[in-house]
Amino acid sequence: MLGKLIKYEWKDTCKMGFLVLAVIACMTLLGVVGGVFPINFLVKNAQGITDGNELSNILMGFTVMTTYMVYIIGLIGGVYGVLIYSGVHFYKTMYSDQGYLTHTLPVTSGQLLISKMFISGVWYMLVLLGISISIMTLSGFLINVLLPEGFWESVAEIFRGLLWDNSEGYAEVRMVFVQLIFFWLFNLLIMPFATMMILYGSLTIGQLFRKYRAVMGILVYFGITFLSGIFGSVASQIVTTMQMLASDMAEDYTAVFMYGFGGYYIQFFVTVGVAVGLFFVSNHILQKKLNLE
Amino acid sequence: MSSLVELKGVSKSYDNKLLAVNNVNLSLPRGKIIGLLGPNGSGKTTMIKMINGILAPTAGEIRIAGMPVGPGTKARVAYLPDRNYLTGNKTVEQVFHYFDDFYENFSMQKALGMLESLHIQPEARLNSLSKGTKEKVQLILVMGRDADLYVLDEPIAGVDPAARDYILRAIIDNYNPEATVLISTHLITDIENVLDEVVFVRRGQIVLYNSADKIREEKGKSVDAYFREVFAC
Repeated sequence: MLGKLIKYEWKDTCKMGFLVLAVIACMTLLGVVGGVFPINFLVKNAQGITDGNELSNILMGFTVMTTYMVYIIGLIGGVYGVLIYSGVHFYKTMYSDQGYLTHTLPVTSGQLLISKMFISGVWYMLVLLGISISIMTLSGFLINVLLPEGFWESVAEIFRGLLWDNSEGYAEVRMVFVQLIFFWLFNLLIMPFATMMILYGSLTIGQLFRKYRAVMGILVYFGITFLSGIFGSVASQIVTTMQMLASDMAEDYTAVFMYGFGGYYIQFFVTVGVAVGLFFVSNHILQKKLNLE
Repeated sequence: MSSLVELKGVSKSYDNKLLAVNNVNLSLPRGKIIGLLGPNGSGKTTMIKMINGILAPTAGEIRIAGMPVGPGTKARVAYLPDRNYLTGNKTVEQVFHYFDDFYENFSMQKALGMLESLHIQPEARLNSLSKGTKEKVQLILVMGRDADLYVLDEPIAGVDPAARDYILRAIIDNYNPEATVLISTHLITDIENVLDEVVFVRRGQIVLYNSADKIREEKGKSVDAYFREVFAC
């Protein structure tokens, strides 16, 4: 039954998911056409390669500014768009009239929660991946335009060193690099599902209220994210400070990065812990306290 | 005969103030069409929602075919709520496939046959259907199943008299004789002739549970007339 739930959840949400990915692709294209090309034009003007007048420089500068503003708003809109759509879709299918169908399917409440968290998490992950690719693409173009020739050769040299050079300097940087990869993977593979579970758990807790359940669910969401953020941040600060006091940073410059990661992992585990807790709380509410209006 | 539905000491309160269902004990047999009758706000819909797992009882226990309310009972109970859950731009046929995927006892052939007799196109999109047509499609989704228990909450409210006749015919023609049909309504005249048994509900409590024939015999009046007498304002 879980497979069937996942199949229909995917069918229900794929239009929205592909739309957001298409928006990200369009934003990337816009960033290249309206950002990179004018910057290239300005750089060549500055270098005296091309001959542009002041007005054209102002226009190009304005185009670049507007483009990147639209680009950033578009990407942020993509992230929040998926979050808001997922929350609305979850609420509609679980707690509005459609809930009368959802909750009479021969499936467990755990299966319902998992299917919804899994699909929205996958979409959130794809959108974050799309944004990462978009930023990397745009950065690649900008590096080509702004940085001197030979930059990519230097980058390739660093990567070769990271992979094959076993000297002490590279070994330390390699540790930081590996941590960075883990940091990114954790963010990409686990946090989207935890984020969705926190959202769904909050909306489910909102069902315990007699009136204004959707509003209460949203307030619970903000409350939980705020409190877990504060708790995670305080805990990570304490641990990071303790680690820093116990070591000599002047001797080990990579320690700065490692402590940063340590703090991040604490916040990560707090978020995942809250998400897991909310899964069980939501499951309990659906089994024992469900009260569809 | 073993009972199909068992309610033991079932209560439901909202905010610990309003007791919508008050310590109900009820045992419904198999193979009957039973009317759950009562005025508005008497607790009929609350009872039905609890039987279907849409509401959690505050106290007591509900069992269907010996099982507590859960995935097992939901596979055996076909529920027509008093709400319209058919939204979006899916086609009627897609909704039928959805039911076919989730409910082993859903018969696509039977459902398509009922759809044809009502002159509704399988390709019709839900957002293009009228309220009445959506209600008919929901009824087909329920009666298209070979369920143990059919729970119909106000199936004839809000539809024209011709559609009422069709709905009642559909219920009688399509339900499995081994199954029980529980119909909640306050339009008693229209359904009186199809009822085997009736349950009168007032302020969340069962005030009468008897066979329709016995009521007519003992009281010398129709179920509708007796209902009016019992619930006179």
